Amino acid sequence: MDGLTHKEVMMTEKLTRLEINAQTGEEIEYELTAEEIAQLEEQKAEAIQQFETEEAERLAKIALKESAKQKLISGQPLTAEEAATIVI
Amino acid sequence: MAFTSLSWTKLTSNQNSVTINIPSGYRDLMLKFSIKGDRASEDYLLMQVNSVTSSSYAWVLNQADGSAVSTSTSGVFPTTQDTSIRLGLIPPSGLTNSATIGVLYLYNYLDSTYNKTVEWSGGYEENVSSGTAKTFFGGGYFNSTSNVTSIKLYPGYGTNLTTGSTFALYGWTNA
Repeated sequence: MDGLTHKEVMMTEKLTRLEINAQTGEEIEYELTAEEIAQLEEQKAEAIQQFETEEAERLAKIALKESAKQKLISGQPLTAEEAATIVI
Repeated sequence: MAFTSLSWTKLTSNQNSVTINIPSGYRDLMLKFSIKGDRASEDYLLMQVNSVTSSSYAWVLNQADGSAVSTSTSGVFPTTQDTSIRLGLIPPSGLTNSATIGVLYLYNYLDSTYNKTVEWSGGYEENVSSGTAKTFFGGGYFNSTSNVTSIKLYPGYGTNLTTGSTFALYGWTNA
């Protein structure tokens, strides 16, 4: 499913959501309406942007730490940002 | 204290989301889940309550895989709030015979004294090349004192929670 939008998936398969009533045990499957899919698309795009921003920040921290490590090994001065990655 | 099994569901087809409508009459709830998704890469498992999709949630998620640990958060509450609670990880769809298992506790879901708080833990076995497992735990917050009437679970990146995923809800009473 990577790379496919919900609309593209919908063209090949029906999108459904399940509601469970824990009081009665009833389970009802609903097909997503066009409006729900559009809303889903919007929410999903926002969420994915957030995930990717976080991942970029995480990778930047790893790179900064690695840079600090290499500078320590070779005796070069660290930037304040690099020092912050190794000083608690 | 009485402990009651309220519902158990195993998906027989892929579902974009699973919503459990919760009965009243209990003090605390426990949801046990075993989940797989349709994303080829690892995915996030997200949660909303009472069909609220606006920025009303805060969370902290800690995870470890045997060699590294990391933590992520929705930010400083209440300045920053998220549109869902990030519960944990869903394994890549191609990972055979492995699903995320987890347990989530929702306390005082009918008590209007405080905003609603959840805690959870879980993990999955990576079982192929590295032979390690991923674990996670966290806490979350729904910025409302309203009764919780429903819990919705759905994937962050992917489209569906897939066939075979299970959801078991339990309730506690004081009696």
